[in-house]
Amino acid sequence: MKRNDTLTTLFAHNVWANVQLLEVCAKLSDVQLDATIIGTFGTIRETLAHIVKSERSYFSRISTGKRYDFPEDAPPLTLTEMLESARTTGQGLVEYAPKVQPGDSVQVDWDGVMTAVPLTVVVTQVINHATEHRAQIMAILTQLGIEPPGLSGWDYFEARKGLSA
Amino acid sequence: MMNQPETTLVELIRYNNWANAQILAICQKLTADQLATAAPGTYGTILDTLGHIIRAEADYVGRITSNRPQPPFKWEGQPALADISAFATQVADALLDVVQRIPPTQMVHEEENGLTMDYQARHLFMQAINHGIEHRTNITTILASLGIALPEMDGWGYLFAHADRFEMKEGRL
Repeated sequence: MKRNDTLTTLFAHNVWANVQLLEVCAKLSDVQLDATIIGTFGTIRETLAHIVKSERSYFSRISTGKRYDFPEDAPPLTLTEMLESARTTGQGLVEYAPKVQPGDSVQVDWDGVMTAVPLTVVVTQVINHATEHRAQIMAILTQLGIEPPGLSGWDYFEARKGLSA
Repeated sequence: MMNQPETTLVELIRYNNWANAQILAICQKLTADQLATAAPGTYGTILDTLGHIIRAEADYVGRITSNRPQPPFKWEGQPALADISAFATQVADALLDVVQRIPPTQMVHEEENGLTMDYQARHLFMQAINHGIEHRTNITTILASLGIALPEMDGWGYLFAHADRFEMKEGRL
């Protein structure tokens, strides 16, 4: 069914933007992936992994109410694994985020204190978190002399003309 | 029929307006030299980026309603930050009103250079949210490079700043 609410559009853009950026970064050298600048989260590679792992965690909270525990001894994600994860959790968020209702909340252990967090705020954080860190990576790419991909709403609109979301 | 606003969309715009107010308040304490600072890979100077955020949001409102909020100054005249901040409050109210009142499927019609374009308002809602976050990040990147400490301005910072409204409940494990 064609869905035309804003949350579906917003999260369809989010997965598209993450995939666009990951595909560009998959072509970078190791030296470029390990580049960073002051005022950002870390290297491009670290920031991409942070986006992907955080989104996996947020998706678990939104879809199951539970936190997602990454295996402590897991090796760092490859770019291919990040792409796969971004597509999976991104599509999951496209499905679940628009279902959030006023009053929905999730219990979060906040430094040892159980806190009821509204799901509307978790969804807000998902979008803010990914967009913020994509912007940091785009700034690093520019400083490397690499033209970052266009990831704005206008770029998405142009890329998806005639499609449902 | 009355439009039923999307709850999370309204929250996202409330967040956007709060985050804009936070960054504007921080930047009002900066010197003229700091406001004129930029960094490669960002939009421009801090002052230019702040103006760009607010001007764009007024533009989005205007595209949807054909009633763009008008500042009491000319953008070309390099307005002072205090004037941009005052106008930002007016734009914030207008943007919140739009997402509460306008259905996401309402058509937006534009004409430019002999061409027309029609699209649904949800695309502009999405653009407004992304645009604000992206350019606030540009500014926080510059501020961090200047060694200026920043408060939490993400979703969690927003949550704790509005604990009463969200009826936050906390308890020991």
